[in-house]
Amino acid sequence: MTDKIKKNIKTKNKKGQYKQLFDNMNEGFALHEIICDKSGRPVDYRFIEINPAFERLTGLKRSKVVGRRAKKIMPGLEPFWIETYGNVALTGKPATFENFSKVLKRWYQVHAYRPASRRFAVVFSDITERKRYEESLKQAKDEWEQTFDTVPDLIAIMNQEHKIIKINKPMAQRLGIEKEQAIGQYCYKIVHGMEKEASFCPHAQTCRDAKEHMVEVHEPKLGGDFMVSTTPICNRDGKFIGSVHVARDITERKHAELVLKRLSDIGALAATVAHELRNPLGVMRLAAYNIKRKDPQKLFSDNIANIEKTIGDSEQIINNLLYYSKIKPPSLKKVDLMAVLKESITQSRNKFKEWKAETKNNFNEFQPVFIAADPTQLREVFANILNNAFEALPNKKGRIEIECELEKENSEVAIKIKDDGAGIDPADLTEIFRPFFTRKTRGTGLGLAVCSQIAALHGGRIEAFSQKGEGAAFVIRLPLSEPGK
Amino acid sequence: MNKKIILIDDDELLCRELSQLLKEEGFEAEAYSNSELGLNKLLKNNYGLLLLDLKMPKIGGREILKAAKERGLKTKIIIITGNPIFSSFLGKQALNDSTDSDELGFADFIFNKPFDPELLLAKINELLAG
Repeated sequence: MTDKIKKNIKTKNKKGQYKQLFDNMNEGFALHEIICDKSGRPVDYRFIEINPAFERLTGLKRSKVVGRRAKKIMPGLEPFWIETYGNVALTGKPATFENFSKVLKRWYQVHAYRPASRRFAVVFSDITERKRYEESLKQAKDEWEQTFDTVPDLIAIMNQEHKIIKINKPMAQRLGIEKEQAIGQYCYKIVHGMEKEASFCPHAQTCRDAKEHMVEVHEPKLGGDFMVSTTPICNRDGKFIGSVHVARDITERKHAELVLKRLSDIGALAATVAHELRNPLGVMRLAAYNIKRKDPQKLFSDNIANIEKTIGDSEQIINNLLYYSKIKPPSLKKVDLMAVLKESITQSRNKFKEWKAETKNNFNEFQPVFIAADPTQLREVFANILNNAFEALPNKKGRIEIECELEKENSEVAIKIKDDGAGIDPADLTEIFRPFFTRKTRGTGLGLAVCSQIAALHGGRIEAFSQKGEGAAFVIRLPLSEPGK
Repeated sequence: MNKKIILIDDDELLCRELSQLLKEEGFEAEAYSNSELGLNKLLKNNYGLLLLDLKMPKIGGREILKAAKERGLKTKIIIITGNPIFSSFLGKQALNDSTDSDELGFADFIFNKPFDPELLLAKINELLAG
């Protein structure tokens, strides 16, 4: 055998080995030639050779690829590929990158190098699954972070040294710092401004017994009352490493509890006092009436009128106090709203019969309007708002308009009671329904609070409209009964 | 028209003022601030109308109503009460609306103290005429 033949065999064997590697490798392989325009700028590339893995990873068949231009095979090929490969083929500088192919709809990890002038070879693998996994991981992390930052509770994760590992956005905001600034700080310092943990610190307790603890804390630095819970967290080996510290703002609840307590105290007091007061008021009213009858010359009529008016005011105060403290769920029955309203108007007119006030309404011809309501409570609402309207009239004269409108589309009935009195300061409009708010010289400030509570208990609401100097209008909205009910 | 009216209320001053008014209006009025005595009189005599307080020591207004109902008295009954179970707006409807006592429904009308004497007189005349 000549040396030449030997060399040929050796070369062929070597080629055979490469071919085998080429055919069996998992990575896709392709050899290309870059195509440039006249100015030397890469504009496309041509496939010279590909391996079987290439076909598998791209879905492109060898017969449709080899010898053809990339843009022809893959219309819409992103410029990124041509620019990147062009750079490799023209400069000889290899490139390794990860990129998504819009045409093939897959992610690839690619290594490109220059085996010869104006040529480039790529070795690549499909990393779509990995990318999807990474994406879902990232999404899960984002979701978790978002949830962590969205819950209104103030959350911190703390280690055994009371150092903050992580806090959420609401907590950072309450502390007036950025989330990152809190990390590594001592909780007792940053939250309570103390040099060591507070005696009530539930985290300290959790650190001692690795159990959940809960405590109510008033923290002026955070501006309120909090229900704080600490829940132990352990590492994978089950070793205690810290706690999740959740502080829920209960300032409003605390305030409501306080108001409720106050109201219940008032209620208990009012109930006993009211009966005792109503009896003497009753005697006074009778006595005043008996004097009036014996005074045909009306010598004392002004004085007696004052006594009667004062008795009436006192009665209203007692009623409101009682009512507010005793409001209970209405016992609903089918009620003709119009009948109740007319009764209430008559009642109020009687009360203010000495005044030169007229009432005008739009519903004389109205059919009965049936709603599900507690008639006693409804009367209380109308009486309060009508009496307010009368009392708002300047110099005991003026006009009160009462309108009733069926709003079928909302399944609502709206009763509007409008006076032409002095009106309500716009700043007070939102306040007037608050318990104990009053602009009257004598009043409990409970009348409208009672009314709005009752309306709410009936599934309705009361709205107030006014311009200072142009009277006030109150609209009582109540749901109409569903047909057949 | 039976113009005999009995008033049972533990408030002596109220008894005095109200019976004075009733007498001046031409009624025969008897007032009892002792409810036990009042109940006795109510059951023994024939009155056209009973004016009745609810909350009283010894025998309360509800018990008197119950006794009157059991006896089937034809006497008209108006409750006059300072008891804060009712709203400021009262009447027969309020008695029917009330769910806490059967006896209350046996009465014809209810007034909250301090009531308007004119409205009370009008109601008395209406009930006695009917």
